[in-house]
Amino acid sequence: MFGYDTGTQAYNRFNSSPHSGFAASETMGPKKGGQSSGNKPKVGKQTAQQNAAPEESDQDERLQAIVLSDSYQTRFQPLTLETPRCLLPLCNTPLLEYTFEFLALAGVSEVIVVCCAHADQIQEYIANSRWSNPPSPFTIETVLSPESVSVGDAMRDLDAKGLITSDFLLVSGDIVCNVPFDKVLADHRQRRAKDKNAIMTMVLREASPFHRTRARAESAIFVLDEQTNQCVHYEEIKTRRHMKQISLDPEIFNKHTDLAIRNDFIDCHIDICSPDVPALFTENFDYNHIRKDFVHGILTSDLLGKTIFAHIVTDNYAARVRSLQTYDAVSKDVISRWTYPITPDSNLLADQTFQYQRGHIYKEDGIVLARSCRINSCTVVGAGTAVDDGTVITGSVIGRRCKIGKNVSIRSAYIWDDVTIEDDAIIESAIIANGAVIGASSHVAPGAIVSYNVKIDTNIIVDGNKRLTKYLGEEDKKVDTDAVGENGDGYVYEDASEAEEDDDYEEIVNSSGLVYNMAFLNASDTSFSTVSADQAHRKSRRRRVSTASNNTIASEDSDEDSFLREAQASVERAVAENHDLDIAALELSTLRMAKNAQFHEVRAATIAALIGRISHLINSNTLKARAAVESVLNRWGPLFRRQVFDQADQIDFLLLIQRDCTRRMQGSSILLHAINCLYDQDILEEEAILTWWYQDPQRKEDADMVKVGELVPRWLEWLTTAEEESDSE
Amino acid sequence: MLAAGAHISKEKDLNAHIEAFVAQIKRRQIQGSYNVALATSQLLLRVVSAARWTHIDQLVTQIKVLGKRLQSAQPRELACGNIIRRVLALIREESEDTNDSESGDGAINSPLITSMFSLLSTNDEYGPNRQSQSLSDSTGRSIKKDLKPYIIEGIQELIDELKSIDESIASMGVEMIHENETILTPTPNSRTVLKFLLRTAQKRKFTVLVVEVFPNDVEKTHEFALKLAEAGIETTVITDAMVYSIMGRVGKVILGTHAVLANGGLLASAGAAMICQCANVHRTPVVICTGLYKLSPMYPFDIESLIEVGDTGKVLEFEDGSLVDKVNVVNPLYDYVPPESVDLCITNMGGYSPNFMYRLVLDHYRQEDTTL
Repeated sequence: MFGYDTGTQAYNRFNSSPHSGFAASETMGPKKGGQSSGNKPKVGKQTAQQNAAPEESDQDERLQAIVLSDSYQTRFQPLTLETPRCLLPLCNTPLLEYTFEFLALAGVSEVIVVCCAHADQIQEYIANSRWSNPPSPFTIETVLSPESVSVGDAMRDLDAKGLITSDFLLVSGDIVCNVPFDKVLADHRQRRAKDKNAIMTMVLREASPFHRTRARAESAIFVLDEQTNQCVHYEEIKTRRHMKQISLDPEIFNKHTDLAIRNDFIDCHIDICSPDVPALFTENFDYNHIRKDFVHGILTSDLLGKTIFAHIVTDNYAARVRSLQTYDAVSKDVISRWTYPITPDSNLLADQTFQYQRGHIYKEDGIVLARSCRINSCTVVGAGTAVDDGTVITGSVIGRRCKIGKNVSIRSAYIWDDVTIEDDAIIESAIIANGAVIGASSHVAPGAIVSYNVKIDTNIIVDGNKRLTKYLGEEDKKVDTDAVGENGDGYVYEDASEAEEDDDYEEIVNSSGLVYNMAFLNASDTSFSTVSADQAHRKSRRRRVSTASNNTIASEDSDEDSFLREAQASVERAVAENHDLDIAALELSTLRMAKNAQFHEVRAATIAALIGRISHLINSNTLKARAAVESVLNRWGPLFRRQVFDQADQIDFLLLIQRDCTRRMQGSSILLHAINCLYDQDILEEEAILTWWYQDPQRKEDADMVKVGELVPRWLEWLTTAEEESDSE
Repeated sequence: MLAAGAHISKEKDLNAHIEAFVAQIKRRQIQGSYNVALATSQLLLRVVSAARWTHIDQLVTQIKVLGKRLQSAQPRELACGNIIRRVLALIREESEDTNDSESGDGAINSPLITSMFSLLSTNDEYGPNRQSQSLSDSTGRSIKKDLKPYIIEGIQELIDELKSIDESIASMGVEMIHENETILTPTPNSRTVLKFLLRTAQKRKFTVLVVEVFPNDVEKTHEFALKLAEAGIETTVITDAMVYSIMGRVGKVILGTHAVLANGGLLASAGAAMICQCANVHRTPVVICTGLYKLSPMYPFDIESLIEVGDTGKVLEFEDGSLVDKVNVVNPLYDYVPPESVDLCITNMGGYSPNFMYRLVLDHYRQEDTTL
């Protein structure tokens, strides 16, 4: 097996053999650059490098970092009513510490923290932290931007203040990341040197579409050039709308030969931006969101000519705490050491004394554990906490100075400081904030949030979708005794955005909970899963799209289709904006002439638009089927007078309606009422209807067509009897 | 006034240095026992040169407090504590020397012979009780001025020793490796082993099998093997699973270590314990190469508290969402190898049996410093 010839050959040969080939390709390839140059410089020269590092960066470019301490979201309410999100504890350490730790690792020399809500708390925290003292690797400055209500506002504010001098790192105050950054930065600078228009590099961590650490609500599709990692298209996934397709500008295919359409990134909004970025925000005052508006806007606009690149990270960890669900996931990741060396036992705060024990258990000094209590794996317990007999704690984070009584059961819950939990309580997957009291034998169900200083009485069940708070703001409310019991203290928090007519509201509810409330969510969730699984599947095949084939696709896009689409849109517009009937008719006939279309197509388009309108009215529960049909057709039916002439036309028309109704909910009743209505208007004649019903073979073409017509015979019966009556007269 | 101001700013400066060190060691920006040892000794050099004391006990307490702080930054990196203990022993020794020469009764007070080393060396060793007695007895006024340069010189020597350790170990290679012998090494991250092999290769012709040590050291294995191959040594990289089957052909297993404990047991990269077991079954000698700075006065009463647990992502790909959610992964970076599995420890002081390690501990550290 081992023929030892000259050393080099032996080594080389073995390296390419299937045995170690696995390991070589698996680990050596991708890690080569990033890591060896990253946190593990060559042995021996370490200290020299360390000392030289600050001077080097002085000569080089000083790297600025902008930390957006505000999230401009309400997902963590009611917790964020009292504390800013970046100061919420994650594994007993404020989130902001993780961000700063990452910036320190990345070699940032100047940090600007933009404060909005709770600015005083953030400023105070930073002033008292180790980051504002001399050993801190960077200078830190807080900037107030009290009026900003979105990332865009904050960026415009920064631009106005003129604080940004060079390329900078833009992060939010709630990221956890251990990616060695010099490679990312070097790549970015190289690109910038070559092309001044490469204004931004987004750092994306590869994951899978259903990774727990991926934010469910904010997942997005990135279309990247495979060779350069240039991002050519960005599309947010709307879970609610069951997005099944995205449209790409055909130009993209001309410019890029290999495209990867990917839906498997954790996008934690770590961006390296050039000073152009805030300037662009100022120019486009309607940009609010950095991804949805800015990236999408820059990429779809031809005028600016700016480019955005992605840096895909395959090792190390990067995530952002952007919802309760990711709070849960990132906590778990930190506890199970994916974020190494940023783990609880590295004691980021000076006064922490966490020690690691087998099974990912972290305990601080000065914990009192009763002999019969059980601390199971993946648990963090803070100093000064006392746990009494018979209590079982699994996969949870317990803060400092908590008192936990006898026979309590705590499962994957996040309990912050100074919480008292009395005997026999059960807490599952909930967040219990500082100073809360959970009474004996109470049950906090998965997903519940008990905010600061709320007191829950004995024998109370807190539902999973409840968020309890003591914070009132300006309101004056009585204690919700239903929720917290007779001796309790606290109110049920009502989400303010509920009242707003928010487009994304459902998504927020779906994804913002700490746990998925399955009863409520199952339907939408499963359908989403099929969509994405599809997408993931498609993505894995990564088709090469050549420009030639793309062109043929474009030419096949026939006039017929385009006429149908345009005509339908024109009618829809007319209906929505309540145009004059004549104008709508004129528009249609102009279109027909321009496209040289048949009346058949005109009818098809008009029917699609009108029946679409009807079914919309029905589905949105504004009107019943009959009323909806009548309201639309009485107003717009006369359009058909200029489209339907002889009996053949009428039969064709009926078939079109029937066909269209098969696609609609309550199609059969729409069909019935539509025929009735059009008959009354004399657009349809009796003979045509009878011929259609009894003689046309296409009427019974397939099961759908038959089904949708099931209500018609009764109407026909009425028609014929009415006829006979009038005859007998 | 000006002098006082300068002093305060100096102190601030020093504090900043200590904080920076703690932060770096926490972030693993300083990694590996050699780098930690070097950085610690350089920091101590600064601290001692800036320190002011009226009595030597004050200095000892200062260093102890500092030591505790540094040690708790990364309790599983033993080299840091070792260096602090070495410096403490050095300070105590210097102060005793001065006392001896002052009181002039050193010869009469000379203690029981506690080790073979003290038989041979001219230095006088004191028992712990005696020495603290003598410390508190001494007036200490004259000590203050005299001692500082000696201590600084001592630390400087320690740094020089650190830098030359690999050399002195490497020079012993010719005695250890025969012509045409096959060597297996499972610790490719060890600089000491690399230099040992490279140096020996100048005189001997031999073959090296490098174990891959998945998952933490795979890249390092490849770099290591490449360096050996470039030096003209016949080198083969083997996977961890092949160790047992190939052990029959191996002449010696050479291990680098992360730390050596007082009982002669050692911490080496994960997988080393298994490889040593294989070697024991095949009666293959296991030789470890270690600098004395890795020698720790700790006993492995709680092995798990000594073993660092590393990045989970190296074992399981983070991308694999469904597994990440359901599986608990632990990635220990080191293995504890019991002293019975090891045949010889080569240190910069010469080769010793692992059973003899406790003697070296007694020679280099003071018992009262074992717990910082």
